[in-house]
Amino acid sequence: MIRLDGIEVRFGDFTALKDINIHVKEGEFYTFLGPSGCGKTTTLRTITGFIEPVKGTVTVKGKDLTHVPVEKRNIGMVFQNYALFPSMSVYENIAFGMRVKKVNKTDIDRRVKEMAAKVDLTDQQLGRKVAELSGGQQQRVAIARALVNNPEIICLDEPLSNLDAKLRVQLRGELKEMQRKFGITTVYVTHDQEEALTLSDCIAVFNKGFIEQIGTPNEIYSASKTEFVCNFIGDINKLSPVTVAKINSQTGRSLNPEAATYIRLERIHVNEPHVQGRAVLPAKVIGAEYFGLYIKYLLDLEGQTLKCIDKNDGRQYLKSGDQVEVAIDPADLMVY
Amino acid sequence: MQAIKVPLKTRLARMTPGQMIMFGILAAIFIWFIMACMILPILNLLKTVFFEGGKLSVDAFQKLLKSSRAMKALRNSFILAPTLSITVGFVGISLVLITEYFDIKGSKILRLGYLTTLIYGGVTLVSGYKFIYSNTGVLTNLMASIFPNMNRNWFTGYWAVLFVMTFSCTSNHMIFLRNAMRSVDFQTVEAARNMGASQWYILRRVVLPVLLPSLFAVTILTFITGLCAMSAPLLVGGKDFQTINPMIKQFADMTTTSAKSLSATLSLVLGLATMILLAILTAIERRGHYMSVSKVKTKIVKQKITNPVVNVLVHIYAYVLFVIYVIPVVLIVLFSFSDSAHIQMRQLDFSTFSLQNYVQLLSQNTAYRPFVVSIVYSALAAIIVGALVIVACRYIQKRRNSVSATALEYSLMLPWLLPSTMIALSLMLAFNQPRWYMFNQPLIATLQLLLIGYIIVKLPFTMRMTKAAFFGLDDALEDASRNLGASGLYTFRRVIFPVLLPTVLAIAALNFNGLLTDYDISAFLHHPANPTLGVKIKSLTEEMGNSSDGVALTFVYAVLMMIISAVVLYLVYGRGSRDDLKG
Amino acid sequence: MKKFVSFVLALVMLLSVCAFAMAEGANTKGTGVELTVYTNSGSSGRADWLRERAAQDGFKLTIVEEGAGAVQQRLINEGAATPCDVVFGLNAIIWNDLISRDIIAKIDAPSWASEVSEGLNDPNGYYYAIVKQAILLAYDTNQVAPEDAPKDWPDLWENEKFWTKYESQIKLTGGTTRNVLAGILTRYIDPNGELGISDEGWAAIKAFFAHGTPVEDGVDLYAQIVNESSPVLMGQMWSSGADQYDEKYGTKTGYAVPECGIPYAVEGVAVIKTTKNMDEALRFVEWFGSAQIQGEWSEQFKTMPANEKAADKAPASQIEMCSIPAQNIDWALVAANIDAWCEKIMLEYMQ
Repeated sequence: MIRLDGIEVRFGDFTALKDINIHVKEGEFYTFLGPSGCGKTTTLRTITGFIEPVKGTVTVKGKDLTHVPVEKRNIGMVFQNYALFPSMSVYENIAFGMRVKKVNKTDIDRRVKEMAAKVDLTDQQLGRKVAELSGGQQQRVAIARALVNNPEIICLDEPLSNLDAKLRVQLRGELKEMQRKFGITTVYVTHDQEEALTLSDCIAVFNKGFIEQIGTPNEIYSASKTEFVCNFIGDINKLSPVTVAKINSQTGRSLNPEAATYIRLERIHVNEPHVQGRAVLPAKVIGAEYFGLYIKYLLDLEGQTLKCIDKNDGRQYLKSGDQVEVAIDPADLMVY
Repeated sequence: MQAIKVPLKTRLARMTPGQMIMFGILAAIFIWFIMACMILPILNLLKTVFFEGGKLSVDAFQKLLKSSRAMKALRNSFILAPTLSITVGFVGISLVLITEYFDIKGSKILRLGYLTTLIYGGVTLVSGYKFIYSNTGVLTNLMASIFPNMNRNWFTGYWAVLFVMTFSCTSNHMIFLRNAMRSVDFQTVEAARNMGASQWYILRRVVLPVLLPSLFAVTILTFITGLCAMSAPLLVGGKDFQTINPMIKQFADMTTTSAKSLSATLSLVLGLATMILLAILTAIERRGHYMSVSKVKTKIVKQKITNPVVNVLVHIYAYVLFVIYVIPVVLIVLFSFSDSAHIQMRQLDFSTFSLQNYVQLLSQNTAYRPFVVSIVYSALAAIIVGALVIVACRYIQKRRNSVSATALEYSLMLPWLLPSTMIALSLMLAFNQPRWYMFNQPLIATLQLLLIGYIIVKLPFTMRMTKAAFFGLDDALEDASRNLGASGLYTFRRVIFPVLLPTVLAIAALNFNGLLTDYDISAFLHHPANPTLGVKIKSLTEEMGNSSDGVALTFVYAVLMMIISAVVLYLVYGRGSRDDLKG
Repeated sequence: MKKFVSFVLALVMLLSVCAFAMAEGANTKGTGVELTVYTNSGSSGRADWLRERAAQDGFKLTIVEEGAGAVQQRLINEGAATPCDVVFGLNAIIWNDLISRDIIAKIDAPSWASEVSEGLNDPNGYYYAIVKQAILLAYDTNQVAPEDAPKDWPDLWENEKFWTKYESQIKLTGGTTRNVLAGILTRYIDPNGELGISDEGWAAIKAFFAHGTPVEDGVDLYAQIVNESSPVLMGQMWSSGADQYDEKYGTKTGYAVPECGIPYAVEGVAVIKTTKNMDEALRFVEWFGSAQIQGEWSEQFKTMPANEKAADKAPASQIEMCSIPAQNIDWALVAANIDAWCEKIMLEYMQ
């Protein structure tokens, strides 16, 4: 559906994007993930047409859009600040795109009302000024405004970043629900890895203008291709060379102790029955964070601190100072 | 934006003793100043003028109604004001778009040109225009060489006044409307483009609506300027287009009570019109206030005009405006090196150029003193007015819609009711004898009298503009600061004031520049041994005392004052524009 | 001995020279008490010159220089609080207004009063004349031949060929303007007429303003005269101005010599009633009007002194202009009515 081939973007002397290649399939929820300044928003703006690349092409359904102006692309967009027009009512904001296209009044009215219903905005809210709405309502207006023109693609630039945590989780769900309902191809930009993992069909992880990895959430999380990706996504432990050497000696593997070796928190097993192929090492509990659903323990393993989580299933409840055994499967290690 | 109304009694009860003392002192200062320096002197003046011999006299009304000249002038003023609002609005918006919105080549130079109205005005400015358009002006000479039969006196009457004032009254647009443009959330422009809107459509439907409140405010100021037009009608209005304010001034300059009552009557007509406009403005301000919904605004990226023909036309328009703005200034500077005769004949002859005017002025032992006097007075007045108005606005902001706040606001606007000549006169008449409300001290021939006069005449404009800035404040800032445990005063000093500072400084700079050349108030109130620049300049062109180079010296003074004004503006805005360069 | 004699002689000569010089300087000396002087005649370096010259003779002056109208306003509105001690410059109309408001002190005639031309000093002893200015209807003889020029003010509106060729004023507060108006209106005095002027007089004034070209604010008469695009060829001018402008614009001033004579603006000097330094003020008046100081002033600023003993110091052209007979004008009547006249003109006749 959307293809970016060999995109390069420069701002003066600064190369913001280099050799970006992305393929978004029809109906897919595609996320650009990365820290701020990594080029994810720049890539999105290249798709919508606010930025013209110096090299490479943007094609949508096989049509080259690289030099087509923004207003001719029919790609919906939801901005980080929503960019709602403060001088217009909610209704006028949603109707704006159709007014531009000189759609007749009855059609505009019908479609605004339909769209408002789909995003759960009441008629009363339609008459309000945008400044009078809550953050969540503003976001729904922004989405309605972007969708009302029936775009084939919708781009969302960190639409949840200004909201509080609870609302963010709630709206994340609504967003996914809407995408499923409309079946629209979605390109989503975020720096929040949890958002990326829960929403996406496919994720591109950006770093300093390059793409580090493209893959499904599980691939990105469990088989991070680069050290950057495994550090950026989720929580992780880095193992010391001494520990890696011990794992080698117990399991007969020949991992390079000097290489950067990581293991996810949930792959460290505490006081579990021994399983073939796992290395078992003694450790001491030095701290715990109680989450209810699970407990996060801080362990001291030969001078290094490891984090691990243990499902709160009543099997055990450890206290600081307890001596424990941790089991590690070398297959769970990510080595770079 | 809800202010919870707390009765004054409760508020007082909640104050600490220290706060109570401070509140008391401030309240006393304001009440005394408003009563003693404004209301009582003005009432005293009106009494002298309209109640001669203890009886209300309506002679002035009858005389004016009978006078076809007065009626015509009144009509002209009320024709000029609305048309000027439209033309200035159009040019002002273009200036803002050219300098802040569209991608125009050389916009930094253009901006400097458009800002020239901030450093000069009044007679000097109109003289600059006459060097170009009057019967011996540069442009007229040029056109006459192509069309020898043309009427050389074409630049006179309504259109000439409208032309000069259209380009000279854009200062407020360049400051306040440009600020508003900077606060437009650029993402909304992008969003509109994304939905397929054309540039023109975006401008019309997205950008201009956001500017509307500021545009209303500056338009009302323009309307008032048009009503009170003085120099332009006097200098280029000719026989057919004289307005009301020069007439007010002429009657005020006469010593008889009956002339004064004519002057006061006419000024009350203008003053009332002004007050009505302000009331409208206040109502509009209450109703429509487009607070941007974005928490983080994206800076405007200059828009390249996509249509190449339009792009070329806009560039041409921008540079034509630039030429219109800059040439008068250039000519004033050039003529300041010429002699009086050539200045008066408006003949630019380089063989008459010399530094003699400058040498003569700067070597006179009394020449530099008026500079110092005017600078000190203008600076003091600008600072004091700024401080008074900030305190007042703070009170009005906190006690929105209370009787005391409304009373305070309108009292500080009161000087707009009367022209500055009358204000000066009211002070003089009030304080030429001991008054109990001035601690039984006559103020005639004291240094403070002129300062009081300067402060009073600058109160309304300062009040108007500062209040607008207070309204634009994000209430959350204050809430945040209070939430972090800061006291009201601390919050104001460390949070609110720094946000307001750029606007406050800009207004102070405008006030300073305005007062620097003041004649109307200084003429009445200056201390005998310390004449101001305006008085000094005026004396250079007085008849009989008139020397052969008086006019030339006024041009030297004008140039030196332009330099001072430019320096002041640079100090205030210089930092801001450096930021612009970075962005 | 010879040496001693020659020494004594030299000493005597020196002393006598000094004494003579002092006598020449002025008989009166100041005592250094500070005087505040208001004047409308202080520009072009006059104020500076006077301050320095007076300092040489022991006077310490603070000079406030403003236009005639502004000085008048200031004195009226400052009332008893005025810091002013002495005023000079103003014309008869303003003097009479100030006298009627009880602002001017009646003083004993200074010793030079008798040297002033007949009829210029105030007969009641309030102000004394120092400089006289003939108020002329002036034109440029390079452009208008004297035989084609108007002979008197009424020619301007009665003779169609002068219409639009002369300047009519837009501000009626100036001294010259008021003298011109007084010179015209006092020809039509009629106690039964409106404001003491006959209908014929008002018709004349109406025509005067209707047929003139209004002054272009900020541009002087001679600049209009030499400007080929301007119709203006003539207008009101004061005598010392005529010389100055001729020098400035290369014109050669001609002027009407009406049969009834012309108004003179007499610049006088007077003492303020509320002065706290009466003695010093009187000494200053005595010093300032003396033939010596007025002669120096005249030489310096090319004006016509009222003091006949100093008259030879004035330029020939000034002497000639000021030899035109003075029009017979009742200045007290003018002073009492001029504001009302001007008000009527401003409301009804001015363009």
